[in-house]
Amino acid sequence: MSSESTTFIVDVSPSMIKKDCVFKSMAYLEYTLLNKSKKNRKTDWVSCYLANCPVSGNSQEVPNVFQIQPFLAPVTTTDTIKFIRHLKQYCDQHSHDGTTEDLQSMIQCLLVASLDIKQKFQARKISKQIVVFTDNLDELDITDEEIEVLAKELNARIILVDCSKKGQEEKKQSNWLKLVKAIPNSNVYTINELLIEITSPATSVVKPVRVFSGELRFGADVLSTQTPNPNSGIKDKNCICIKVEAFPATKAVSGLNRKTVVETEDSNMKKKFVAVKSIIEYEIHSEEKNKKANEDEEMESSYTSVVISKDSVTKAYRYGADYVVLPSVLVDQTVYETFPGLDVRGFLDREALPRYYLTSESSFIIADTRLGCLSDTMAFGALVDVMLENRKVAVARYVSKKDSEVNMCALCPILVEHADMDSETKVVRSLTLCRLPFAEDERVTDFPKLLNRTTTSGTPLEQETDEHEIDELMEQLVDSMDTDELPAVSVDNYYQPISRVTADTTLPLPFLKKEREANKKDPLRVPTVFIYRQQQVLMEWIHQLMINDSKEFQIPELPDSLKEKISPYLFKNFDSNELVKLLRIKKVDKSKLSSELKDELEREKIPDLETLLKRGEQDSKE
Amino acid sequence: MQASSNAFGGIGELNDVMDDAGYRKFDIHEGILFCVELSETMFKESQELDYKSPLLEILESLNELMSQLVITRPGTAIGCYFYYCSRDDAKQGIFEFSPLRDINATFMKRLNDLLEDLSSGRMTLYEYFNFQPTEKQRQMPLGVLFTFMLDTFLQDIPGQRQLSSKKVFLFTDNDIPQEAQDTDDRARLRSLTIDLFDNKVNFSTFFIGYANKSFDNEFYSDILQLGSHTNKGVGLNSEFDGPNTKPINAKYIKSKILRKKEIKRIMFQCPLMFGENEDFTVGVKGYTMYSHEKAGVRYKLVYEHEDVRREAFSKRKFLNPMTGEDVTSSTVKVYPYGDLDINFSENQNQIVMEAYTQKDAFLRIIGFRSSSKAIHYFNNIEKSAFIVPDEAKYEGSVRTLTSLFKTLRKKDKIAILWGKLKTNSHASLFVLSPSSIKEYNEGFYLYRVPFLDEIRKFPSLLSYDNGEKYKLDYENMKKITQNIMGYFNLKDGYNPSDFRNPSLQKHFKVLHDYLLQIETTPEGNETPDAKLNRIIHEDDSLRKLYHIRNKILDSEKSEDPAIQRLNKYVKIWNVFYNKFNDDSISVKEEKKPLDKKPKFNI
Repeated sequence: MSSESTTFIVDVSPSMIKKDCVFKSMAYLEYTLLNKSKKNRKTDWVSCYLANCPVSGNSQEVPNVFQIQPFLAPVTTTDTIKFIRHLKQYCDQHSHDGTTEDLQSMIQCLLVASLDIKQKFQARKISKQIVVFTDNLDELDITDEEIEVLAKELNARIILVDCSKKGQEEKKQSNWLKLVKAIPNSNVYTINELLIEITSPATSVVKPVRVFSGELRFGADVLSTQTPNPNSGIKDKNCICIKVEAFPATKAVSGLNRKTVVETEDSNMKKKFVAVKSIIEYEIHSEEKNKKANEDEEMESSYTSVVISKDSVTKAYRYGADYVVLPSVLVDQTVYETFPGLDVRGFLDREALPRYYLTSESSFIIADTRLGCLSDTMAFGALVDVMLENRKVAVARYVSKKDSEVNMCALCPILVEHADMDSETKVVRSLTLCRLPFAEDERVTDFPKLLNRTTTSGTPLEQETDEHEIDELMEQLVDSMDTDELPAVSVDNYYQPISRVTADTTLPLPFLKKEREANKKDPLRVPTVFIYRQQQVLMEWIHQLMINDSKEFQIPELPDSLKEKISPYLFKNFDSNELVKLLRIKKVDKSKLSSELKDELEREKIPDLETLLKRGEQDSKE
Repeated sequence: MQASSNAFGGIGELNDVMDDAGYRKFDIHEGILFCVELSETMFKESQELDYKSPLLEILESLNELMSQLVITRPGTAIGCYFYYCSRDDAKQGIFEFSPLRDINATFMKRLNDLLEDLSSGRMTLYEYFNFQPTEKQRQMPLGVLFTFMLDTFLQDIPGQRQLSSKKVFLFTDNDIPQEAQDTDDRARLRSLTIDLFDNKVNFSTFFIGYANKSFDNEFYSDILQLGSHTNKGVGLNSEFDGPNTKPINAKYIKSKILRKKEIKRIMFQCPLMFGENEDFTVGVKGYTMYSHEKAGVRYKLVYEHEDVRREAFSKRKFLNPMTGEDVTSSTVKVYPYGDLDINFSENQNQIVMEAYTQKDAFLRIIGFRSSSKAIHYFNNIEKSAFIVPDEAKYEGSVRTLTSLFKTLRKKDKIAILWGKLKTNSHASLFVLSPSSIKEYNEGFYLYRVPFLDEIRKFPSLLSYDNGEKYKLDYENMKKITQNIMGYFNLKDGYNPSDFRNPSLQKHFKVLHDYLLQIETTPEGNETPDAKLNRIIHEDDSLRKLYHIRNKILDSEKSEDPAIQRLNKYVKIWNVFYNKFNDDSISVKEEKKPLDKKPKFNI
């Protein structure tokens, strides 16, 4: 993302203060700046002015314009807190003094801001924008010619945040809107739209990173592909070879990393956290023999340790009961030499490949438009189309980089919708690649049956008498929580092209509303709840304790929209108590079983000796 | 070079030191005891085994089993005994081929050497076991064998942990041993069986029947099964009544050995809640069916200095960067937010979590949906788990999940679940899908659904031209592609067991060869033919690719026009490919915006 400068102008006229609009604007500012402070970008500048303000203070000494925050980058959390507190103080002071005086300084403020931007950045290439919060869209008292001049003069796009409650029709005549129209890329949003935006879980946009670039082959000569000589398949007339590349399609995310620190006091006796330095130490243990040689586990941790040098530590690899220290020549030989490539092994009906064979994250395989030609796009497209039309998937051998692991993979065809230059909807043909298990990965074992149950020796167990009734109620339960009425994001839109979601600014603006609405309805598209929750709580903590000076932290609730997504869906009413009764569900009293016994029972379902003997007796009687 | 390459001399002696109690609970120590009866027919070539003897099949299967286990479960103990054996070193007719010990290279070599001697004809099985078919072999009563099994499992082996799972693989094709005639003998064997059960020894039976001589399991059912005639009215909790004694065809020996070796390793256990009704909670257990084994992850650290070789341990330490003081015991974990560090108390963390998750593992059904809307092949993110009912914590779990299983199958639906599988993981969304009718196992597969942040964006392309201007050529390309595809339909689908992981195999081969001091030829200066031969032997996947290549090349020479066409299609495919493989249409020279190194990450 390129350099960016954002100037905020908040209209602090009495009506803005009275209607809580300054307060709302402040919430947006707080969120936006805290978001920026996480990224800590050196080329993301912010500044802020108060317009229609009784206090004056700015570079041009224009009255009633107050620059409350000079240009700042990178935005830090501490700076944000300072700024928002300052703004808040101002509002607190002026919300009670009851001034009704209308001080018109918006145009002056725009001009001051524009001059300051020019002064600051001069000819630097930077994307400039002015965000104006106001409830008075009629305020700008200028002619159409003046608008033209102003548009040229400002040299920044305008994001107008409408804090009034006026309808679309009433706004039309506003000079503000004319100005917005006159400046390219400018836009108008209502404050409520922005507030919804900052309270809805945002999805992060990660730039696609190429993970493979090479050949998709079929029938290539094995010997020539297993040499460090690339491009072997393209010229071979007896095989199919297409230039492709790979990008991640699904990738697991982890929560925010917690930092390990130690609490210290600085010279002013002020407590603060200092990040610790982490080191790995190696040691050997010598057991202490002074304890009596008791067979019990009591002497478990009775050893003294001696720290040793890292240089004399090597790995002993396990081979069954043996541990092997390999001479260094052999260590290199344990790595299997491989060469990058994607070799198709064959095709099969999608239904013939069990879904549970897929064991990894997925990647996109696409025709390489960077190193390849139209031939690659066409050949690859034809392959994807034929696979889709025949409901086929492919099995392939995949090596992503020199000497990286060999993987057998499934290739599944998919179309990805994108809007091209003429904003005509088109699709890009792609395959998704996912790892399949090798022989060593199989853990398949036999489980007791659910239908037609038997004992371990194979004798059938008696059927439940009320089976039919149970099944009928279970069906009703399943129907009562059916989500089929909720629309699903279509397969072509499951993955979104990066071009569609990349914004030209880091400002949280509601430009992806449509996608968000679609995701909201689909029960299988869920925001990353734990990350959202961590962010929410951290921001709230800063808000309450650092900005509002609360003594105690009130932990916020999860937003209802998110709570709904992870709570049972009710399609129809159904009382499950009758079913619970028929199923005779009973919690086993834990206290009756020691944990060890429980584990044993878990492992093998073997009855106690008495039962066994009893059965044995019965047996011999017959 | 030192002959004994075991890093610490003794066999597995460090196992005990390393394991702490918490770890041990999950690291089940399994022992498998092969007990093989030497009958006349066991030595005879069998039609079912492509004229191999059942005995050889068992030995080869054992070999394969050990080379699999050494990779996937190196801590398994295996022993192999032959009974009714008249070798001089057999005790009471029981010959110890290898004692019940954790898998180790020495015994693997012994077996390997024997198999090599047999295949090269240096030795026959008759000679090895000193078997004379005419002689009366069966002096040893079966009772001796049963007592021996128990003693073997109970013996204390220095340096080896107690076995927590004990299995006997009993191989015989002799359905009426001498004891079958005597009711007292039968009763005695029955009580010995109960002794074994009481000590948690399980049987997997390999009762081998042949086309011309079936195996009657009457005798073994009688001695190995508990009250097989009195089972009516047995409740859900008493499924155990001894092993299945159904005979098997000799040709299934290997697959049964390899299948029965697996113990069930619980990946997680947790309550499954049905919607909001808290009373409607049952227990489930989840198992990993397909994992991802990696080479070189099982190791210990060793300190080597001059003549000293000792196990080493690593330890993480935290230092105060200003003072250098060791502060490992007084660290705090904080959330960094920009330049601010935020510290929550345990209690606060708890409340934050409670909004969307629970402390311990749980799963809650929050909806149902049609399979076609919920299960896709293009969005996998993790390995799946196999879910079965768990009666241990909630009675009625089997009943409940059986009914859910039937209902979901019937309606072709899946359940949408919210929950987590481990105490320390984040809660996320899952779908629960019943196993298909084609599968042997009945249960559910649990798939994690990616969060929105886990669904990555599709990259920008340098060109979106997909040749629409050349519609006819594109259609032809499709036709040819479809034709070629038709020749390579995998009728049997994908079978993981057909593909050993070459990277894993290589790692373990180097260890194996070094341990047993096997000379290896350097790969560097081999001829192309030798190389091809080597790579298609050490890499199953390359061998399959080699077959594809040959199929295309050979088709050219085929007399069958249908087969011959394959080669033609491939050549025509290349004609079309080359038609558009022209630099003038290429987009090579353009600078792709994606290539610009971003200065800042989003």
